[in-house]
Amino acid sequence: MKCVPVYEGSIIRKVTGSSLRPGGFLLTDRAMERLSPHAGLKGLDIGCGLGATINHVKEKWNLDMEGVDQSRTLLAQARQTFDLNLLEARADQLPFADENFDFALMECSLSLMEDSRAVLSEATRVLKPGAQLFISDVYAKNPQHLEDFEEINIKTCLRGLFDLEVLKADLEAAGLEIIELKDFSHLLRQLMVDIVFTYGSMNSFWGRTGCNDAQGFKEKIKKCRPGYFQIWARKGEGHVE
Amino acid sequence: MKTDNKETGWICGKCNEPVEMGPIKAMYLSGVFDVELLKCPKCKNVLVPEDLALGQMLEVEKELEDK
Repeated sequence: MKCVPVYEGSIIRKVTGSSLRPGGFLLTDRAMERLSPHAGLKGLDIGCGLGATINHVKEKWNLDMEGVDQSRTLLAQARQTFDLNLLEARADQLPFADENFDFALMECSLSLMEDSRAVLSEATRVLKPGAQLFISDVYAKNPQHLEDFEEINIKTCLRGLFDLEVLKADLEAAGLEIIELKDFSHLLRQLMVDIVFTYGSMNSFWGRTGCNDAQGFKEKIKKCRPGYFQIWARKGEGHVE
Repeated sequence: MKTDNKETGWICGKCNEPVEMGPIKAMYLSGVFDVELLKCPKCKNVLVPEDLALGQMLEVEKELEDK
């Protein structure tokens, strides 16, 4: 089934703005505070979308960043808005040399990727030893209810809710040490409030995105009890590929 | 509240000031949320019209109770 990518359309953008995620740049800034940024650091935004995060980091934190995204649609719009180093690439095949970046961001993008383990492995490869990775994304508080969404025809992060225990194990297997895992589910609840105030109801929102079963999708998501997290991780100094 | 103001249709009955849209911190269950609602610029009293109370606000309550 061909899925409609919700993140490429104007329906969600009307609510989230150009960040396309819960909380806007709040968790980006939180990540930058933990990074202790200084001149010369080079970062990568994996799943950079409209490039708004890279632009924000450059302007507010004065750091050099590049970005990759698989969406030609979003990259075309990003290039019309910003003058940034953006590449069209799959996150599990990053077009960069080993040990190239001091930090990487994956903000509400890992959940959209087909093979998150391969992406984590690839992100680790392009990070320098000791470099830091910040992931913010959706998770299931009831992971036992996670199930396939094959019959749903929209592509959204909520199809890729993480089981945090599995994700933590995947990070470690990729050679990443978790420094901090913090819950930010209130950002997801605020996004829901914003969506309802904008579109009247969640059903109306999902319907406008082109979802073929708004009520069914909502019911499935509800059972999982979605939350939002940020993980701060570091590539081990002695990591060997 | 009285319904005389031309822009919003409402003025504050206590202060006689036209109410205007503004950011409000709304509390529900254990959460605090930012929403835009009509409020008096002087006494800060908030007006929730019936259609909003039975529409979006009720919908938000249902969604939050589900979580």
